Amino acid sequence: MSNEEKVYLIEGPHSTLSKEEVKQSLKQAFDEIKILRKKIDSEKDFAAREAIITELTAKIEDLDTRVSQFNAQEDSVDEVHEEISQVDQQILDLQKELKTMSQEYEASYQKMQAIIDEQQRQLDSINGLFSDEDLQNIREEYAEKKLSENAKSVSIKSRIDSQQKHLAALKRRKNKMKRDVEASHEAGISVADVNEIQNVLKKKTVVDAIMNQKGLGKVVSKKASERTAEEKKAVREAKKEIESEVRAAKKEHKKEDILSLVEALYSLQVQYRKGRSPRILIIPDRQLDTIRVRVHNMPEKIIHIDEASADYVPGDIPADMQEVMESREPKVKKKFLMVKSNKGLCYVTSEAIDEFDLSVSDEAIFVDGNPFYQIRLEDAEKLLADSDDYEFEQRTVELDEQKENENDEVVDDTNHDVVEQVTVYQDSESNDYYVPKYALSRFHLKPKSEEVIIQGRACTRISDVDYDYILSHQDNGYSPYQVRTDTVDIEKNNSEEKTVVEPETPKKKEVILLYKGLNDENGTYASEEVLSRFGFDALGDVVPIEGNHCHAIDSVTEDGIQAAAKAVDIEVKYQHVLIEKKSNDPIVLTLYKDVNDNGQVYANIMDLVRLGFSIDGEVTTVEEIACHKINSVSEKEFIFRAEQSKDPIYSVDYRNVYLNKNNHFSGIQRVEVPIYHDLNDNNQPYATVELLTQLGLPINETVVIEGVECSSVSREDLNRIRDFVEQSTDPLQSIAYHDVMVTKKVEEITVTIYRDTNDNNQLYARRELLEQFGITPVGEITIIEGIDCYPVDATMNQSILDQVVTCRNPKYLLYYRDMALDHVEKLEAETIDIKLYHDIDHSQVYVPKEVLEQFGIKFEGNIFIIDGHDCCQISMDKHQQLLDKVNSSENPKYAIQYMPTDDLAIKEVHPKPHVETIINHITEGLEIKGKDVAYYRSSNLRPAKMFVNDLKSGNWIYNIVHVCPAVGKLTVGFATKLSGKLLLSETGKASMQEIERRLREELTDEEWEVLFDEYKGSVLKTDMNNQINDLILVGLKEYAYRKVENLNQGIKDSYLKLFAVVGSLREIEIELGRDDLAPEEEEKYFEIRKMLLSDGACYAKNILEYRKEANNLLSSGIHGIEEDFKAVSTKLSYVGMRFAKTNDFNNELQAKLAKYGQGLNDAIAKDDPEGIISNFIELESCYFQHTDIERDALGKRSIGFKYYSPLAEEFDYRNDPFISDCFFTGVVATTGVQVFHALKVNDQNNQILQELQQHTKSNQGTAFYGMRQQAHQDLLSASQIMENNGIVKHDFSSTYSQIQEITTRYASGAINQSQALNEMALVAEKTQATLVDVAKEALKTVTDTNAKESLQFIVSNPEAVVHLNNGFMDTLEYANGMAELSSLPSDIHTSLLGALGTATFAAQVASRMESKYGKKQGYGNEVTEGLEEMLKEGVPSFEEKAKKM
Amino acid sequence: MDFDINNEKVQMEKDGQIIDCDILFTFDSEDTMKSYIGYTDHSIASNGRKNIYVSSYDPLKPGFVLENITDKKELQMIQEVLQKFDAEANS
Repeated sequence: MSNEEKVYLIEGPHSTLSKEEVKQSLKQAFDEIKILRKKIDSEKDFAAREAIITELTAKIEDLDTRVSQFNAQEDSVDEVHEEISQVDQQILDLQKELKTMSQEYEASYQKMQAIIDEQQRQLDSINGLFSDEDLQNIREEYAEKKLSENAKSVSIKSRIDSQQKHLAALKRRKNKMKRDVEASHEAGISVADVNEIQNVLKKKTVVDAIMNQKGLGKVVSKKASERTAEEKKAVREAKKEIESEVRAAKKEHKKEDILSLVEALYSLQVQYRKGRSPRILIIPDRQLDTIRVRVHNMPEKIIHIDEASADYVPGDIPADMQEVMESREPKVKKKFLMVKSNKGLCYVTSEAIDEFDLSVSDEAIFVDGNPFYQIRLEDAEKLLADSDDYEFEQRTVELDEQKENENDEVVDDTNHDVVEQVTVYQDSESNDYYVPKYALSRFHLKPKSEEVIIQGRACTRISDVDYDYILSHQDNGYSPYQVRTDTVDIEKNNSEEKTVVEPETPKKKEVILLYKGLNDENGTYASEEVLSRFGFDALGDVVPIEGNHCHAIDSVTEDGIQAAAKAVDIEVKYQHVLIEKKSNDPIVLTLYKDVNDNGQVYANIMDLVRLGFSIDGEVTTVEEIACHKINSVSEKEFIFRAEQSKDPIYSVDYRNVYLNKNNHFSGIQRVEVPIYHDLNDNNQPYATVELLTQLGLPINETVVIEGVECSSVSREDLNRIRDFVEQSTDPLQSIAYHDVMVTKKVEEITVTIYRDTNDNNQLYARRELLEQFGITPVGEITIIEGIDCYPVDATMNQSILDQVVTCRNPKYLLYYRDMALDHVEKLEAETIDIKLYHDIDHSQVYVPKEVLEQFGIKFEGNIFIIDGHDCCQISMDKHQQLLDKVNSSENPKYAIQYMPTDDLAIKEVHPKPHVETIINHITEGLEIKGKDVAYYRSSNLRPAKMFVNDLKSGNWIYNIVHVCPAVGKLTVGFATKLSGKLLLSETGKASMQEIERRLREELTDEEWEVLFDEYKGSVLKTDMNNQINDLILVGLKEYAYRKVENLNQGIKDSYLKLFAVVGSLREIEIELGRDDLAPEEEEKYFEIRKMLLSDGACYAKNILEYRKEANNLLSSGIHGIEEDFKAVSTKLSYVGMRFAKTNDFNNELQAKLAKYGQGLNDAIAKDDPEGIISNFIELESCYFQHTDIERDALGKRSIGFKYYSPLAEEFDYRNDPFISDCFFTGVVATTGVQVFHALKVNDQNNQILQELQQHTKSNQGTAFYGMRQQAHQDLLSASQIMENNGIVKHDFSSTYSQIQEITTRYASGAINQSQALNEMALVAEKTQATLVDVAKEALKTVTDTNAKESLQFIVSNPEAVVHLNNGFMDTLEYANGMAELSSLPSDIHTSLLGALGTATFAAQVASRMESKYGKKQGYGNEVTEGLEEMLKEGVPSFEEKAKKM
Repeated sequence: MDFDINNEKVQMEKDGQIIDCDILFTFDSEDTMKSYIGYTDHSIASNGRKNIYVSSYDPLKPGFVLENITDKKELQMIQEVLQKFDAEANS
């Protein structure tokens, strides 16, 4: 039967039955009962009938039990299953929600990707040039979109994480519930019982006690970490055993609670019964007074023990009981006087009335000036009877008519139905009330004045409250009376006044009372009299206390009263009272249910009186309160009347009691059990140690209270004491509560529970805390702040909370501390080794920087790179500091390992310089003009003739427009000429050259790195002079080129390694294709193959990465965006690859490229090494195979669809072979010029040359080649010659020196080819002549050359003349043609049409280029060689192998 | 090297058209390391005066673009130069 099916377990021979089976069995049982019943009817034999009846009874009881169990279980299992279904539903809902959120997250990612792609497309699709501002705007726009989308994505992710945690928690809960259901099925008990058992067995006291019994007491007393594996196993098994035992016990005794079962099973006394909440019985003052009056009226001791008669009426002494007056004074008979009138009426003094509580009439006579009051004759008879304590002297008087008439008003005392008359006198002036003196004791009133004679009677004033009281209680059911109020003029005649003797006031020292409210947190009250006596204001509401109008006072007033009283020798005493609160709280009327008597209800007599019930029947004392038994009807009536009452408002409460039926007015003496309430500690109860010992209750710290050793008890223990006392019979006991003040300092202890915010606010607490609150620490240990902590579930938390709330001393302050715990903490200490480097020779220890940071030790000084780590030298102090911290580490535990530095290189790294330092280094001491001078000086003033003429004529006046509407452009030639002198001026040249020199020679690579980081494609510093920026730019580009070169080297290495891998893979494929390959060998080859594929994929990825980085450096890091867009406009794009410029677009090729390109990206994403290698090589091959370089008259150019360059190329056309060839023509032109200059022609020579010119025009090719071979030599010669002849002397010398520098550095390898080209182009920009101009210029001055030397050359190389001439002409034409090329970017224009010097330099460079790119029709390198080799065997494919695998 | 600016032109884009402007004068400043060019398209402003455009050229910057002059010291220098031209022409 699966766990999901409902299983109903019924006691008895059945084990597990389905619901239907259970119902069937119950029906069967019921049918059996019916049969038996019929049998009874038909059975005549008495004995047999008895037997049947017995059997029937048993069956009915059994059926009843089973039905109850069935119903209970159905409910229980139904509830759990319903709960599981709910949780399931929640899980499903949550999973759906998570799925939706995941989709949202994915959509957000896709959207982000779309934004990125859109941005890229927008950048790629530009046909024109964007300004920097436009580009910035685009970037900002897309950045904003990306940020916004990212924020959404982060929010979704955070929600997903939170919901996943919630889901995990729900699943845990569901699993627990299922486990509980399973456990309940196995055990045959309800799920609630299973949970209850678990809760009970979590209590440490219970478990420890049981473990003790099982002999594992010592084991459980140890910490979990200290237990051995066997001990832990034993504890676990014991716990399981206990659980199953308790479950079995619960199955047997379903009605018992778990704790009782545990106690019974293991003979424990760990029962914690939840105590009844204390009830505060609010007894109105009047009720209390009435009770006191009744008590006063009752006999002190009853010596006749018997059942009370059923018609006993409270207030009257039962006839069969003898009243015994216990005298407190020595046996001296009191003497009283009784006066008998001549009419037989008896009169006694007020003292006698008080003494014997006699009923009197208001008739009074004066005898000898003393008032005598008429009493009942029967009372008189009694009084005259013999007594040991008193005696009456009798006198006879004769009353006159008047007095007799007055006596007619006396009520016939013989009639028991005559109601007592009480006369109250009201002063007509003051409206004060006065009563006869006897009424004070009759109604327990306080006199408010001295005695006053009113109508011959000694009276005293009473308060209005007392008057109201007398008035309101006249119709009470047990001692009724009638009040008559007479308004009189009271003469306060001193001669008639007598001193009122306060019988309760001691005569020696005056005592004033202050009241402490028992139900008012011991608030202090003082009467108005006391307050006014000592000069304090009566503030706040009036609170009636013992007939006084009292007010609450604060401690200051209290202290003041005490001090004032002490000053006048008055004693201050405190009386604890119950304060009648004038609040809207209802007055609680308690009904007592006798548990021992089927819930028979008893009501307080006073409450019955309140609600207008008649008091009759037996009086039963319930918790020292006189009560009457009431039936159910009366009970309902009671409740109804209480509810109906509006003023005051009542509420009815029930209380279970356990009554002893012989417990009322039987005169049985009780033993008092004292319970002390500490008023200073919120009424903390204390019991005697003797009692606690007797009851086996825990004894805490003992204190002596009233000479008895006592201990504090918990509320639960107090309830146990109460129960014990209630149930006591021999002797009968009752609890006597005493208020004491046990001064103790309340200790406050802070306890912390940790709340893990990383785990759904899971709570953790230390073991000690849990044990302190009686909770067994269970579960996985989590280390928090280095201390073992255990998880705290909701039940444990509630238990702790309950105890914290109720604790008194010590007082626990519970604090929840939020922690973000890392859950990977392990219990076992982790050992971490730390390497320190020891230079033994120099006694120096080097510590890795991160180690010092970890241990919070400050490091200073230079960084040393040792074994790839940034290390610092440390002093002995710091070394010791580190050692101390390492030695004191616990978890993780650190251990130091000293590595000798013998074989390790130590490289000192200086701190990076700051950019300002570098700039200062460059410019220090130099006069950098342009910003600092007060005014600018002009030089080289050149006015145009036209302008001079205009000025001379005076005809024109001019507007000087210095912010032009449109920026003008200069031709290159003009621009270079314009600034020629400027650049060559001494001052500018000196500073600029010095700066250049410093940049070139003094800045280290590290400083260039700093500048490069600051630069990143933009102007370094805007507040610097332009000159400096441009110069630095040059150096930065150089630095970047070096980086590119390194990356290119990395690419080359990776390519070569990749080729090797491909080769190896091919060989392995061949091996794997063998039929005779053994399985072990095959496995080995597959292993190697896997490794190779992984390596190959790594190399391919490296190539892509390095190439991208290098091209990024070239394209954006060095040239800036402007150059990029120029390149884009010429269809040069795709970082790392270059397109052909003018071919038609090859769709088929592009589709292939797309397939392999995407395949490559997908393989990288999936980390599929085979895919990476295949697609990479396919892609590269595609590019390579479609790159065609053709050579034509104008040089070599790329004619294929692609220009493939495996290495990172200058992202610039200047590296284009086409362009480089142009430099060849420059060489030719230069050389041509040289030659012609060298020819110091005379007319004859000129003619020869002209003739030669005509004849050799067609032989241009050779000239190129020839000149190429002679490039170097000719360069030097030509320059010299040209210089000698003054051709562009000044221009050339500067240019030449720059070119020479570049040449020298390139030749020595200090700069690479791309760098050299770039520098050359720059020089071209800086220099002053275009190729055309120079050539033209040279031609013009051809006659100035040294003919002799030239002729010698020509003689030696006769063909050369012709070639040169032709070549020269071609070059010239070419140069003219070049000038008109509009399809090339302007910079090509500029670069190409460089100066003469540029051209000559280009020759040298070009020759280098040729040597470098000699393969593949003049282009390529060792990489392309490798690719070519590889592709000879076709593009490698791994598909077949993949299938085989 | 001296060169003849009389036949030199400067191209200016104005109202969408490229206009060749005659160069009126040039001079250099070693303090700013720039050259300065005065040129005109012979246009007459609304105030009846002939427009002379003055721009600077920085030989160390890439490109051969004329730049506007905004620095007061440069403007002052231009004024002085023009006064010199005037003085020399009329001397």
